[in-house]
Amino acid sequence: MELTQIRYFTALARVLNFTRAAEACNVTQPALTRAIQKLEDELGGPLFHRERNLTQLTELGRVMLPLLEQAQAAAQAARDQAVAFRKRDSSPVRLGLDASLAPALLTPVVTELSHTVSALDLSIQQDETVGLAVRLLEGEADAALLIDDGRIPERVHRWPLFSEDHVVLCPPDHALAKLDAVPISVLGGPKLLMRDTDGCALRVALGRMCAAAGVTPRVRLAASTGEQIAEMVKAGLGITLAGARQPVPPPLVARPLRATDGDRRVVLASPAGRTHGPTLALFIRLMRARSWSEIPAAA
Amino acid sequence: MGLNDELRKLAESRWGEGRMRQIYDALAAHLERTEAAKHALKVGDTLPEFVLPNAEGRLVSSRELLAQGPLVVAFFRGDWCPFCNLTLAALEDALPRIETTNARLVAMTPDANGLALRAKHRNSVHYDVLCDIDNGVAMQFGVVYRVPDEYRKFLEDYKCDLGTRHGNDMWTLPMPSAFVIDRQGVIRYAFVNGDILVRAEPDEIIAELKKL
Repeated sequence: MELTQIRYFTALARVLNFTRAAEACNVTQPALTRAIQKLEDELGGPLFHRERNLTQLTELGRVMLPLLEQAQAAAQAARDQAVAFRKRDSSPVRLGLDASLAPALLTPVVTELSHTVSALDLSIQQDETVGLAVRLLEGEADAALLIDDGRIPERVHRWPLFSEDHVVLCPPDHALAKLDAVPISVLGGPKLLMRDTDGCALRVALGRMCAAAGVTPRVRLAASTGEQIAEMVKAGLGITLAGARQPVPPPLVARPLRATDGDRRVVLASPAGRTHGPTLALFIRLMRARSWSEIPAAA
Repeated sequence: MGLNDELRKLAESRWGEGRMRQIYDALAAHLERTEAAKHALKVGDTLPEFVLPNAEGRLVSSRELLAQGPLVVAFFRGDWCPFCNLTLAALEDALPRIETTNARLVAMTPDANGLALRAKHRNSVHYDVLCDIDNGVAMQFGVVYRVPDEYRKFLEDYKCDLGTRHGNDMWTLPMPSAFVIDRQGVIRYAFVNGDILVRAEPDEIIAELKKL
């Protein structure tokens, strides 16, 4: 697969006319035709229907177009980033983080960026996944770590990072702390403290898990931040729900839930089709490259 | 015994005459027929500048590497490929001799999600393994091909989902290849072959480095 062939293909797919595509690419028409034929040979079939006055993408051509555009963009991005890196160009990065995720998740990548990008201009806003997705689409945020529970619009591109189970957080002297795993029926108990913000991913998951188990959750919307909830749990006011791989505020303990539908998919999200500034592009690369198995699992 | 002898021996022990051999032969024939290796960078071409995360999550740039000496770039598919693992281990064996020429060695894989680190641990490798996200750098080296449908089906049967491993749905792979680049960033040796059992011998790479 050669970049020139891909460039000719995307040009022809755009204008659907061999003569005009050759002009746009600044090559002769036979050269363009040969390159397209080579690509068709590699990809295993015609990419265009060639009729006398009409050139149209075939089904294979339609399938290949976004993939080859992606390959072309990847090569271009690799080139642009290297140049920006050499010139020490930087661009602002506005990140979002679902409120149920620990900011520590971003620390290794942000640390690396702070070492390599001069005058790093980075901001992090913590909010609910749904609100952050809107912010991404409206151009108010560049990338975000979200919980992919079916509420992220299609136009937001997602790279899966890791999945985690749900745990119950309780004080160390709580009856549940003695159990290896907590039955889902506990969530129907009277002392489940949750954040009161709209669209809280943990409450969505709670609803799903309880519905699957036929349990009616009894939730007390007690505070607006996870830290406040943790303080209330420490004070013995109740228990709460968290992601299994998020840090447990000491001295609280985490116990896994015996639930069947507790899978929390953590994704890196960014609006599809938007050009990334050099620093954001580096951030996304670093996030996608790294191992997420190093996050300590809750005990 | 050279790397290529070991690769053939491994293939014989694993493949026999069964489906696996047919699949790999078909892939090699496809890449040969479509002249996939023809577009690769050649001796005399300039190294495409790059900055990529390494397995440990640090950014590594070609400029910083070249500032330290000549550079060897080896593309591999991923730690799902036993022949790539053998190659990574052979390069590790050759590392002390490569380093005596003041050269740096980096291997690149399109595998994301920490799989570069796993490849490194699995093969006890001490050189940098870089994560070439979406094959962006490999594309510029001209060593990328789209996985043919039959080979894709074979990989999927073996639970090797390149979509998940790479974090994209392109299903592209680099041809296992090796390049020696001098301090000025000029390619002085290029080895690209569509046959996964035919790879640059570490001795050959070292001989090229000694000429610089």
